[in-house]
Amino acid sequence: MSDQFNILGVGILSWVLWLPAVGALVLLFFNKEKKDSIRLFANVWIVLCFLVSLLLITGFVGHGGYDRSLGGLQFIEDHEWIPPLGARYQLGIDGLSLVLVMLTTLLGVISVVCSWSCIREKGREKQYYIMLLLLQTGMLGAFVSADLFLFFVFWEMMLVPVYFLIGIWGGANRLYSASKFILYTLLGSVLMLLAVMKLFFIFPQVVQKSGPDVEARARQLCSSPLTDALHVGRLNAPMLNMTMDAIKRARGIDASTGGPLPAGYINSSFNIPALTAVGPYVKGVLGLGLVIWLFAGFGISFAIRAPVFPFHTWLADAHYNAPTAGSVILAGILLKMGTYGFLRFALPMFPDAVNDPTVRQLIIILAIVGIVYGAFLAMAQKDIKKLIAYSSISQLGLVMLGLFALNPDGINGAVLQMINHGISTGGLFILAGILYERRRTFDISEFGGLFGVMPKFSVIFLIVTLSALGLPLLNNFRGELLTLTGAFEANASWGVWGMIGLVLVAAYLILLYRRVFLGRSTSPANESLKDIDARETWQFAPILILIFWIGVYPKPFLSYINPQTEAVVAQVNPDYFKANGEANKARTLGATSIGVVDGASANGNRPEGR
Amino acid sequence: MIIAAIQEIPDFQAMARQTATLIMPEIILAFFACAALVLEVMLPRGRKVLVAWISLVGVLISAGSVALLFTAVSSGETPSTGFYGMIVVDNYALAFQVIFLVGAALSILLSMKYLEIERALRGEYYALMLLSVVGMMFLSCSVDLLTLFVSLELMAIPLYVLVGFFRKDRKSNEAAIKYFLLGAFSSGILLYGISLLYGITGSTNLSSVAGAIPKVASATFELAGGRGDLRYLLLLALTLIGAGMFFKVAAVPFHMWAPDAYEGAPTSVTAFMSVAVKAASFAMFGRLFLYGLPDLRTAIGGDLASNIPALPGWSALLGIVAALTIVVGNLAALSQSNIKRLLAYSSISHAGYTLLGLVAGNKTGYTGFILYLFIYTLMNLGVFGCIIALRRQNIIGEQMEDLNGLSRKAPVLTVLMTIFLLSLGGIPPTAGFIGKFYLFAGLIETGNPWLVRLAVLAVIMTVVSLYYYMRFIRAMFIASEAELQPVRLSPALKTALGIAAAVVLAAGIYAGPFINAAQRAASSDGIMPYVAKPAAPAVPPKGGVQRVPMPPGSSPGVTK
Repeated sequence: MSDQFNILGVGILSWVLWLPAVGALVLLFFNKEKKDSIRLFANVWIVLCFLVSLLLITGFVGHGGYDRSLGGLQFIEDHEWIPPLGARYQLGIDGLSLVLVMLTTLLGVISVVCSWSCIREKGREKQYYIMLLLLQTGMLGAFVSADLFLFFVFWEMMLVPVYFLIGIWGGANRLYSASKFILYTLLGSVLMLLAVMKLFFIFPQVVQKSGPDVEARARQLCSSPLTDALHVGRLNAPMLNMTMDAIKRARGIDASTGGPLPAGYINSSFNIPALTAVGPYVKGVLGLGLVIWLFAGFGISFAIRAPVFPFHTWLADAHYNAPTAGSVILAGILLKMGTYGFLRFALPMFPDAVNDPTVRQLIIILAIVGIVYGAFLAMAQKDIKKLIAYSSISQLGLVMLGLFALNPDGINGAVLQMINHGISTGGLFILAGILYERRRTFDISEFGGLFGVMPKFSVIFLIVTLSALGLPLLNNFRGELLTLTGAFEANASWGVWGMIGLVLVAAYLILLYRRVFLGRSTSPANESLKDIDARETWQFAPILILIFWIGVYPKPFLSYINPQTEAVVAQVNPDYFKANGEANKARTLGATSIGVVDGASANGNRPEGR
Repeated sequence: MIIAAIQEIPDFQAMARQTATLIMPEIILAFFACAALVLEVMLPRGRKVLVAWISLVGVLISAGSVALLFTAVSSGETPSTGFYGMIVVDNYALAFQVIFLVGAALSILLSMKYLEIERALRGEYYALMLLSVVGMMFLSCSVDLLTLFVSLELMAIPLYVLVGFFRKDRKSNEAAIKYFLLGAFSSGILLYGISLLYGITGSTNLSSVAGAIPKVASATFELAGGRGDLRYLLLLALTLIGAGMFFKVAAVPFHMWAPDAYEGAPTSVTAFMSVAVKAASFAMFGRLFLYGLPDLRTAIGGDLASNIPALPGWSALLGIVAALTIVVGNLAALSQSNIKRLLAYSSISHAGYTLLGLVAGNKTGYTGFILYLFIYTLMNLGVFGCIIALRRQNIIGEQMEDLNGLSRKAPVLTVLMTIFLLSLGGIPPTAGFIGKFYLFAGLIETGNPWLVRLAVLAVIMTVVSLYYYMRFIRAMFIASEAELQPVRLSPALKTALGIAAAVVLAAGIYAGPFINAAQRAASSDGIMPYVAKPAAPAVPPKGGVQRVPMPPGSSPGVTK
């Protein structure tokens, strides 16, 4: 919806964003000895946060939810924040952010609920839940910010709670892992900070040189995608206003007063849509070299978070040593920060760098190496949790491959895969955590024959495993299919390499399942393991529902993602829509992105479609 | 009789009133310093803590008069120059005075309990501290080489005493001697540079110096006996003044005194030294280089026509020293186990960051320079306050292990300490992030490839610095406690830490007003942002990051 969506005078996005932090604040006043009430409060509160975030979709008294036919950012909130710098408190979400926000709030619930029993033995409940809630706000902030400065604040801020989560409640090697995690990710962040500054300072120069082009581009970004025949030309007015304000400021006009900027104010802006609109014209004004440097600044930061191949070494340590909830959030959401960053910033802001053949080739190669190498690493692990941790490298490599295919299928698939990975890997981490609580070990060779002992647990583990290895009708299949379609479309050999990766995924996951659940038990301790209880079963309900839902009918998800995807493709790869003409447009619209999943319209149009 | 006769002259009265208004904050502080000395003698032994409170009141009243002075000067009611142009009370001076007073007030609050535990509760302590602050305040508004030097000494001499305040402690004595010897040495070097500068330019007044520089800096200066080249002499003067100042701010390679002095001095004095003295030295640094020697920033005039190359100016010198300071400070801090020593190295590295603002030379950089010093004052005092809280009967609390398990013993203190540490590390949403943002943004804004590289180096070193700040956090939250003696905060300490943490968070979350104030201070007359002249680049670019030249005049011109 375009107009303000307020509850009690506060915008809905602010509610979603700050509610967890408010919960953390309330928790501060709890007596730390009243452990049960702390736990209860945190669990109730995080569910509340999730319910509030649901309003983004459903709408609330007199106000509709997210409008899928409208391109660009919605629920925009725009307030003065640091006037001299031009940083503003700007929030807004598009379909991509919305999906990730929902994933964050949902995994937030799951991670808090799954800590119910394990935190009881580790202690320090109060600090634990405060950290989880603060982390939640930090991550949501990165997804809902429409101001680069604000985004950066959240981007760095979220590292601190993770440090504590790993450092205090983590496994054996927790100190090392926590330090490695925070130093590694910070290194990326500070390089990005420099790129942000440079972008900030060149913004007015580009606007002054190629103003009309920038404005036209901004208008295009704020309107519904061209392929959406029903809504062509619909303009997202609040977003356009926000963007135009930023462009005005670059010309030295204070948008709020209409007069010249006060002395000492920097005539630039951190507004993300405005900076995106400037992206394609930086090259013309300042040359390709600068664009590539800027892209590198952003890209390295995101590549470290994702993590892309040579920057992956922090991941296994952090995931392995984090407490279960930490692993779930790390795998489920924090890694998505990196790929989200590529999709939101690195791709649309620096299209010239992305289209540079060397740069693109390099990233694709790194992604493919990540897929294959990550899979081999996972295969070699003797430890359940490490295996799951390494599998993330492979999975995120696939996401990167999809993103840099630079076509709607690839990007849609990548985003879907981001969600799928969050659900499946998150689920696997919880399952591994449950196993650890019962057996105090992650060593695969210690297990065996659990199927007979813990039937319910084994079935859930089986479903999640099958989902992670991409069985048709389960979620990952859809994502992988789309991603690979995109990759094949861009370059057949990329698709082949992606395929090889998928085969390896199937191999190590099936091996894992066989060795843990089938065969004969190797240790008498396994004979008496308790099956999961009701709470533990129910926490998987949302995961299982999503696994089947996305697997069978992903259209609702894609319909949120697709407009943003097409906007990115139009920005990065404008030739895609032009060159392939009407036929392709129809194909994109009907068959690929939404149609595959629509069953009815999926006909022999495409080889992989069923 | 004669004095009375002079006082009859109306002009004199007007002038006296005027100048008295200009230095009212200093007069008030000096008065309270004397009062503290007298009270020390008069008060009975058990009541000595009263001196501290009275000094605090003096600082607050002085702060009030700074505020009055600000309104008077900015409305044009009082002319900002006094004493025949020897002092200028502009926004730059006032901003620094606020920093000193904040630093002094917090330091007094930190000292009370500490001195009691150390059994060193004597009134001279506060008198010396106030006198030192008087020196700092004069330092910030002096625009004459003589007054600058005199106020520098007024600041430094009480500090030599303060560092050795624990007369029976060998470490304290050692630190005092080291600090005194090196301090005197550096003053000598500085004075030598100043005398050379006076000799070359023929004036001690900074604005006259600045006016004379373009003439004497040319390669063909008309001397009495013919033509001469004074540029090498100028370069020597510049280097000597620079070296003296690097000593004062503890920049590498003149930093060796800092770890020893910081470690040996009473912790409360270390805290005071590491913030207020540093800020004051930077105030002088800024005055000397931005106000007095702006034309020597990039190069000391060459003559292309007669094929005489230009000599490097001070920005190259500062840039190299800043880079060295940041690297050495951070790397040396990594391996320290004594907290005070570690913080000494950390404060060395922060001096390096602060220098970046001067190197950048645009308004963003100057804003960052002043803003960062203000923020640094609060956050560093905060950390030292937390260390002081650890000092209990029989426990020194200066080793890293003494922090172990603090989160269980004193959760509030731990949270405060964490805020200060994150701020020192530059993690949002704390003030340290905003300060560093401005400093680095200043470098990036210039677009000069060398400065961009400097910025890259500096940000990478902030990550290194985070490693040792994380050591504190790790000890407090994760390690288990070594001793169980409870940590109780005195109300004064609690107030000081609470205020500092609140401002650190406020300046991080709602930075607007702080930035505005710093910006106003940075745009005082005489502190002109450097405008790049295409003919003389700061450092010759040799291929590199920016392939595209900035359009002339656009680099600092982003701000109007």
